[in-house]
Amino acid sequence: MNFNSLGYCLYLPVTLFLYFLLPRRLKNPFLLAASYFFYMCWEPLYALLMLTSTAATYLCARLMAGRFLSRRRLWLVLSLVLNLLILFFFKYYNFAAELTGRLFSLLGGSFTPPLSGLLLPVGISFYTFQALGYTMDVYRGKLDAERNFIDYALFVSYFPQLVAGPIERSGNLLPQLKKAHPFRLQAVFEGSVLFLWGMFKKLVIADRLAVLVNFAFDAPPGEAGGFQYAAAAVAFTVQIYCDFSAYSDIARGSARMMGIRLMRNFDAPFLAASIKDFWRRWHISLSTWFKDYLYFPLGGSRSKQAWRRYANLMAVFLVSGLWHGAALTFFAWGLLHGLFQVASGLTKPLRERALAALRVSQTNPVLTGFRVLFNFALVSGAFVFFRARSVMGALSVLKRILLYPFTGSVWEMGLSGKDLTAVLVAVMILFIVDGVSRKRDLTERIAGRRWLKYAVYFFLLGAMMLFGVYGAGYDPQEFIYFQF
Amino acid sequence: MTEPHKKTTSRLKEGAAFCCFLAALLGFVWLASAVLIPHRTEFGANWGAFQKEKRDSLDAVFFGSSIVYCDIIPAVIYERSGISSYVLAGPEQTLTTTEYYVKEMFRTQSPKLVLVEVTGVFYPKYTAYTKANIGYMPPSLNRLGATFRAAEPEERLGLLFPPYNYHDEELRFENLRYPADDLAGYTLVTETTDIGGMLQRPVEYDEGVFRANIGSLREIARVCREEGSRVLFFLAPNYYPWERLPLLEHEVGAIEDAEFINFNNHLGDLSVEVETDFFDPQHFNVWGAEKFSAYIAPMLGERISERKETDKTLWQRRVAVIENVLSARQGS
Repeated sequence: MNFNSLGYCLYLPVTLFLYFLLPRRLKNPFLLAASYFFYMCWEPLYALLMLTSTAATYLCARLMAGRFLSRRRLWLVLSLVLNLLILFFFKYYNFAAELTGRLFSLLGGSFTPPLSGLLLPVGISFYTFQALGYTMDVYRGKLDAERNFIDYALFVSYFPQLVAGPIERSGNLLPQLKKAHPFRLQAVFEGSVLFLWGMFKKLVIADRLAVLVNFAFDAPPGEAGGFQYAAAAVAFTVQIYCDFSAYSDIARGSARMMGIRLMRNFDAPFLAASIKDFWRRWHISLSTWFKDYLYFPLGGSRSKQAWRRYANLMAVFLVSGLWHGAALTFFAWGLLHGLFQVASGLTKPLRERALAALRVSQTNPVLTGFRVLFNFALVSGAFVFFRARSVMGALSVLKRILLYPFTGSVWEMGLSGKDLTAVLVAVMILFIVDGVSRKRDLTERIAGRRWLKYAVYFFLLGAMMLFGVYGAGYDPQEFIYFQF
Repeated sequence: MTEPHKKTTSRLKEGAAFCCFLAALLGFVWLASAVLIPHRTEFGANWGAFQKEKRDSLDAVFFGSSIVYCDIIPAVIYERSGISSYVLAGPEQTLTTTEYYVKEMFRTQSPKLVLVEVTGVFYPKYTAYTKANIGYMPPSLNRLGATFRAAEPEERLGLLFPPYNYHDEELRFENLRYPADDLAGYTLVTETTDIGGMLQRPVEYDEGVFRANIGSLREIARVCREEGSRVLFFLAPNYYPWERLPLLEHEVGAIEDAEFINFNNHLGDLSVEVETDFFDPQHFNVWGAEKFSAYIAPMLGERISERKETDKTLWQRRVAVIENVLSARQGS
């Protein structure tokens, strides 16, 4: 059940209605059943997988807390191994098998491990990481092991953020799930603002830009011109942001209507002035997860030796790349982001000296503007690997952009003048909203003002009605992050 | 102001704001639907132009499928008999849809005679043009009825919420002001096919659908009776379902207060030429339609004693348009 489907537009109000109608003791069991129903709409059998992961982490955490056999670390390792094995088998096995086959072939052998024909369970990376985060929090003593299995299972499977995040922290979501959430009209208004804003980004911007992106990236190699590839790379960067942040906003909006606040997953990432800054604003729930559960345990930036700090950084970004998908393209994407950060760290003293010599302040607005644009170009370049079908394909795209930058026209990429104008105006609105919402919570402000709220609803619904990609004869794009 | 009083006032204001929002949104959906849906002036489902007809100005209205909008020329009927008529048909229109067309027509017109071409009794439950046939009906309970009874389930969303089907179309503000149709619902077809002879139309018979269609005809007859109109069911003189004709004649002929004429039995009097008067085996071209319309004009005259007050200038223009087309052939 996609968020941008009619099914979800019926499912959400019915679920909310029943949730508020039920007595408190039945709310969470109902929400759990509704969440499993939501998940089973994709592939019923995979709900068992989620249940297994949930039961395993719940039990391990309980045993850890009870110091069963006096081996807390054993239960932690067991939980990690079990979850990572499931993740590996369903997500990475085929990739590993293919790599092994290639390696043997390089060495002159001909061994190819059998491939698994299993489909990737939707949202497996998200709920696995959420469960692992909980286990590690319990191990570190940050959190008491949850006693109530229903509450814990709901924490893992809570439907708004189940299939594409935000990857919630147990410390944030579990206590909220335990509280009573009576019906509050204000919360419904706030949630609706987020929900509609997400839908606007998905239907008006992301799915419209998908036409442009697919034109170039799905074309036979060399068919699109360098300019068209450059336009598609920029379009994909905006598309994936709108697509993913739309999902997060709809998730946050759906939860907010129930009175539950999910963490913010994006914070105007295209206004970032460096790659480091970008990762503070992009997919925040994942980047902070990696920071807390991988980067810091590796030593983080506290290591005295610079190479060690950079090695930690590279490790985190390589894992982050692979988290997104079992393919060399994602590995390359992570590698590039790691290298950008390392290069940034290595050249920092040099850049500072140059600026001092030129007497340009770090806060100079022209310099900041340049940095934002340069950073956007780097991010877009890296996203070519994310979108391309292979590393060679991505390199060929970058080569065409660099060697033939003025070939091809954006008018031949499948979007009409009306579509392009609509999407450009929508992107401008997006940037303005992103910029403003950094300083203040627009959702609460809008929802708190009677006429403004309805004006915003009207504008968003009207824009979606006229310029959205939906309805008969259209191909509603799945949310990109569903595949992860 | 006391606290509970403040709360009540605030809730009332919220309710009022919500109602305003809802009204504005519905208005926007209506406007968006009107300007996005492609402009339609021929090939039936011509509700936009039909609504421009002066209220209660039509003596007769024809219903049915493309057979009707290709075979009946209201201007010829007017010229021959002074009867003002209109063709309100749709491509491959099912009789369930026609039933709602008749009901909707009665909201603005009160013709003394309603004529329904009944080849549709053998049509399947759904045909390829549901979107057009129902989508151009004005917003009303009849449209809603047609949507739920005559449209495929997968078409319903687009019919209830037209931007679903048409939001990527260009904006067409001419849709907001349809002019009166110079052909009064007729679709001008000038191409000629030598069909070689009168052909029999193959029928894929479905008992359930047939019975439902007969039910629609009964409902049409009932509505016409209530509205004080006579109803005439007919088969146009071309490519008709020969094989099942006895069944059709028996069932349609048995409908209370309704008359049935099979014009295939009048072919000799019509003097249509298979070489020159057909567009294809199902439809006349303009010359065949002129002969057929001229033939039925006096028959209508016999059934309609009183004429409505019509816009004479408009009808003279309609007659002139058709005469121009017909004289062009005579000239050539």
